[in-house]
Amino acid sequence: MDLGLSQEQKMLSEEARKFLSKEWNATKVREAACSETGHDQVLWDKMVALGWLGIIIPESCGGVGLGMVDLAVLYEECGRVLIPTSFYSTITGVLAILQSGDEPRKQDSLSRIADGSLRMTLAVSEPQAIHDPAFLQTAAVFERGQYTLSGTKLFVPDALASDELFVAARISPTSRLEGVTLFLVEKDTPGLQITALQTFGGEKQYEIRLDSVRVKPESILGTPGDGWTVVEETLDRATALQCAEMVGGVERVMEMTVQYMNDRYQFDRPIGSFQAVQHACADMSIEVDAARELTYQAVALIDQGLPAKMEISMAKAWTGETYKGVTLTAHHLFGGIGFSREHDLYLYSSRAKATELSLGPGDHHLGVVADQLGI
Amino acid sequence: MRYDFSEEQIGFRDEARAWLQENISEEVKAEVEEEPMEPQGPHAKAFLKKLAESGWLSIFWPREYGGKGLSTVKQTIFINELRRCGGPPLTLTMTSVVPTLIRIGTEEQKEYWMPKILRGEAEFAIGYSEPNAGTDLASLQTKAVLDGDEYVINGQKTWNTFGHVCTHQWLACRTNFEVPKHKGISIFIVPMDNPGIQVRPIECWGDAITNEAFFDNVRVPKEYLIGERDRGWEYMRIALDFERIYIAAIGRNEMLFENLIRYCAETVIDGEVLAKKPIVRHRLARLATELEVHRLLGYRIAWLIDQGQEVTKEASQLKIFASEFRQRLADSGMQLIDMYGQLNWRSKWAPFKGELERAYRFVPVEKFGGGTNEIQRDIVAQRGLGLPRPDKVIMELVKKWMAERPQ
Repeated sequence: MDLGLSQEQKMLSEEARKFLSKEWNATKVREAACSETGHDQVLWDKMVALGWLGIIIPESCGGVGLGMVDLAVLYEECGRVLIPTSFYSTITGVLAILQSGDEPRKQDSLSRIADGSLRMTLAVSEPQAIHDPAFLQTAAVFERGQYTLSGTKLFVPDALASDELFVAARISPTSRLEGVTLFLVEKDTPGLQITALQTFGGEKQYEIRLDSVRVKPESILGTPGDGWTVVEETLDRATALQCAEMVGGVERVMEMTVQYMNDRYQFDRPIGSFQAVQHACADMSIEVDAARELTYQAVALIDQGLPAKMEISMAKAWTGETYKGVTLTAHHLFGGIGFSREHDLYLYSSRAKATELSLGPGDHHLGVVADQLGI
Repeated sequence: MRYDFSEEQIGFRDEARAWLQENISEEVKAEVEEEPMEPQGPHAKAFLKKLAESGWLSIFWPREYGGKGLSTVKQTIFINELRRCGGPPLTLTMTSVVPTLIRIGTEEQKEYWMPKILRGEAEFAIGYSEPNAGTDLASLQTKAVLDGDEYVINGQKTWNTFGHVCTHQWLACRTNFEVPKHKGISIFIVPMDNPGIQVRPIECWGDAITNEAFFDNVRVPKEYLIGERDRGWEYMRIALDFERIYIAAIGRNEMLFENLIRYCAETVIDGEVLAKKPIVRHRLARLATELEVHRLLGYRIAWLIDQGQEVTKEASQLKIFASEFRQRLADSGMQLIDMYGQLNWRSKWAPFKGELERAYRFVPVEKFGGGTNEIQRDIVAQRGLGLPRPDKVIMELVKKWMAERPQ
């Protein structure tokens, strides 16, 4: 048991914070939210130069070859300043490739991701299927040496900012239990249509219609029919990392709130001297510290190759509730000024609610915890 | 970074578990069941003595006092195992007095008291609260006046848990009336066989017994003032940090939850296994998540202490979370077992020996004892998050208002 970050990880965290405070700010968050893709190429290029995209990519594939805890440290810093989500989506692509064990794909894609020339995302959810592969309807039909994909994907993050997508489709349409396969599809493939979803927080999520999209068999990631295992393991890891992003966000909201409680005077005194306010802040700090421990526990277990499914779901259920809950308490403590869009708080409140729901809301993860408890 | 135990820590846990399983007899378990908080039966007492003689208590002490300086993480593992094996709780002597004495006692005091404690010849009741000094503890009025080579103690303590069975008091007394109230308190060790001490037991809802204790011209040698004179408030804060950490020991909640989940998985009511009902699954999953938080906050403190860090904020956070979680666990659990929840632990129908109802009746003291959770929230906010102290703010305001007052 060693609950602290290593010296190297502390340095990574400090450098990331310094870098991001220079390169990214709330004005840019607002601009990115209004842009079509949400992507920021200037920031991207600098992140690439720092090696962030390749952080968990093996050195043999052009990456840095570090672990999940190192990556979580970066996610936390990114979460503090709400960087564009194309980073997270591309890392999810990296996780899928690594989980698939697909050597040719590793050689081909990972080095391009590490050098910043390839961005990816994962298209799994459908209008009537979110967590259960049995209900995926997108079909991949094999004819004349090619697969033809048809169906609709929903809530695909950062599709417009991506160059390539991994699409989950069923190669055996007759069976509900098997056949899910991941296909690599280039964004500009004929028949692929991307429509932005109108999200309340400006999250870049998309509907993707696949209308007889033709892809070669080589575009299959890993083993045909084995795609759901990869999806599940990828999403578990992405969930743990998203928790780290959320921890960063909620810690920032805590700081902003405590600062304002010190600065804001009513009745001739800082409102932070009132016990009602102090107790709200104390409760937030317990929830936030707990979120941090649950999250790093999950990430550290993954890093060591130990079972982490229950710990990941505990982390997501708790952290989702915490990030959201703290932003709502913060809105209450800030009062009018925090409600105004001139203030930055709502940027976090929106992201908090979006991250609470994406990759499974609390109830879904408590269901996973119950399964893991064996009841 | 790693959150799992190292092989060495697992080895230590297994060794401790094996020893405990071998030495905690059915008789000990029965006595602990009878009096979970302060078992006084002969077997439980004999077991605690054996625990001390076998070195299991002192291995966490520094080497210079006969220990092996094992880490706080290991101590936490050990305390956890002790409870899981059905053993008696460690006393506040071990969990609060000893670590405080190690930090603040003079060398002579440590050399004198530590072996006595280890031999079971010094078992303490904690004498802080008074009828008019509860949450406002620094207002305590029991006084100790130096008379030659002795202090003469007069006053009254309350909520003096263990007072009816202890050999000594760890007593906070006012030694200086000329300074602000926080700065005139000292800590004394007072042997119970000194003339002038009277103890009156108070029975509590949670079956626990606490006491009032009266001190009438009780004389102790001046060497029994622990550490330095008038620094008692500081020492009490250290001792209370440790007390809070121990109030929040995880083992009991782990056992309670495991029993609850087993019961739900095995029990059929109205034709359905309880654990198959979605609402039951949901409640259990939520409790499991909170239990994990409790466990992590507990080990985080142990780990931070081992890193030499101060843990005042963390001890208060843990105490708040652990006590409120235990209340939710007991309350939720009693709802899950439905009508059976109302049975007293002595009923043959009470699921897992009525552990839930006993926890439910005992847990209020965990929320207000060792400093109310409101005081803990003040500590987290002010010492942890840096929010202003209301009393200082008000002092400033009063000065300002006085200055602005028309002449």
